[in-house]
Amino acid sequence: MNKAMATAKNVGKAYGEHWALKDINLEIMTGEIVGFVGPNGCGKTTLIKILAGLITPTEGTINVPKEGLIPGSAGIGLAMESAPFAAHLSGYKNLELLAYIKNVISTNEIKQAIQIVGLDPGSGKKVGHYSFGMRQRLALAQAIMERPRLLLLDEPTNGLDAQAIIELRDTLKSLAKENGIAIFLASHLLTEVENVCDRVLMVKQGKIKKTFNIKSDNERVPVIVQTTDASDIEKLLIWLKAHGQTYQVIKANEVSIDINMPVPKLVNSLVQANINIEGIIKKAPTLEEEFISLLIKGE
Amino acid sequence: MIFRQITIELKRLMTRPIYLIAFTVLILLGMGLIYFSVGDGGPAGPGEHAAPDASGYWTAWSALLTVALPVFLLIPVFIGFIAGASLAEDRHSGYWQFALIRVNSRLKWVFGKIVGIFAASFAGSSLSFLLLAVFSFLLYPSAPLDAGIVRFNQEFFSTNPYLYLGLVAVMLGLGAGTMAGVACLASIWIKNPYAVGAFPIAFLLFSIVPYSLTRLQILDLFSLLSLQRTGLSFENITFSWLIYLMVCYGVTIIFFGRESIFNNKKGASR
Repeated sequence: MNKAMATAKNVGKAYGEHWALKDINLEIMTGEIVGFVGPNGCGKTTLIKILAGLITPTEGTINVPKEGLIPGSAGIGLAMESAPFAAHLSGYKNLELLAYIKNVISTNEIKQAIQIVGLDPGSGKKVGHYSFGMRQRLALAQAIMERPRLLLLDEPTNGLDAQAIIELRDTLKSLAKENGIAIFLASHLLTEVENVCDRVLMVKQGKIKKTFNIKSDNERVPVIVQTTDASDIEKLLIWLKAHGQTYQVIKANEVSIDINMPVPKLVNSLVQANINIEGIIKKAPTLEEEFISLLIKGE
Repeated sequence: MIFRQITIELKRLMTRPIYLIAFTVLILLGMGLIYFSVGDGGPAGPGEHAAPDASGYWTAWSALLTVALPVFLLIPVFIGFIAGASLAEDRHSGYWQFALIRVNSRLKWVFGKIVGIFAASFAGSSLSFLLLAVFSFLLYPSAPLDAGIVRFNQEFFSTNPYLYLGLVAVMLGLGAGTMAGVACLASIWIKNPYAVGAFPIAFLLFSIVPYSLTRLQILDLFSLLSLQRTGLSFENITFSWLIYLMVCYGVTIIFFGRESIFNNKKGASR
């Protein structure tokens, strides 16, 4: 059963007179990947720090349940945008030192975490010689090594190459689905967020403007039906009215329909009604389009 | 958990190349002074290498406790400066977040951190002095013992010379811990780790002014660090350092134990 691994109720954070976050309400369930997108300075990092318990909100409450945690689990795993490891130590040594604070995992588990993110745990290469992408991967390994139930990631794909991004995407999906880890991910790479997240919160000036459910929202998108000629449009409109469908005529031979039935069924029904169809397009607005219309144009 | 955190801080600090370089350079400098300033170690002839011992011989004691003295001033300043900047570095880099999320208490985190800083400064400083002592004893004879070569607690030196050396090592360690503490204190207001690292040196230099005005022994940091004043004793050096340690580390714990130090928009960006 899915349980909320983090709950924020009416959370707000003010720095002096300026509210970095305001009225944030959210629940992150086990096995769910939630994205947090917005322009620079919209409060992404602040919310992650609040969820991690590094800073306290000015108002509202945060609940990250402790019960039901895997014995020895860190509870929360955190990887911030910067990956501040000791440059003179190897990746493994860095993680070994951090793991020693709680002392709940074995050296094998540390190595396993390093392998999961695609680094070599046996490499003696100093972190000072790591590329930015390698540091980012190490930060992720650091966040997952103690088997957290809630994983908080701030710009995890920053500095990663295309292959590393794909690998990271697969890793996160697998952590969520197979291990039931709840993941909260703040990023400005909209395509990546769309590819990996189940739900995306769009934030502007510290407030959630819209919650975009990637799967369910995509299922409810309108279809555009193109007919062979204008006479078919008339037949189509009659049919739509008769079946209680909401529609909008776009062109002389093109209608946008908010269908409440699967597309194949619609096609069958239209063919049976002797309506000549030239084409059907089902195009969900991308996260980027939503982002532009909501957060940039402010529609 | 706090002991594990202290161990980690010690490992992180004492394996840093800059720490190891400073440690090595200071040891080599001390060794150079002990070796070259003494001459051939035999009976002193006339000239600049006149022996300080009443008997006219250079001994391990005189070589260590007189000619190597400039290094005693440098060791605490440099070792303390490197270790002390670590708090500001962690704050600047964001490493504190990695540690804090595991420790789950800001107070425990800062306590573990500053104890680690103090321990690294103390160990580095005391150890370098003891290594120089070993070097001096390898080169020169340990007798005769002349109490005139030390500036304070001369009677104690005559009766327990090796314990005296041990206590000098402790004094230097406390001095280094204080210099690191001054850097920690500076981290409250200064975010740049380099500026924080330089702060103990500035503090040392500017301490001349209040000392000149008040003549209070506790403000005579140069004498406390270099152990160069006849009016001193182990008791009052320890007392002076303990006052500094309590003030510097106490205030640091109070400020870093509070969320507000990380709570401004600029600080929150990392």
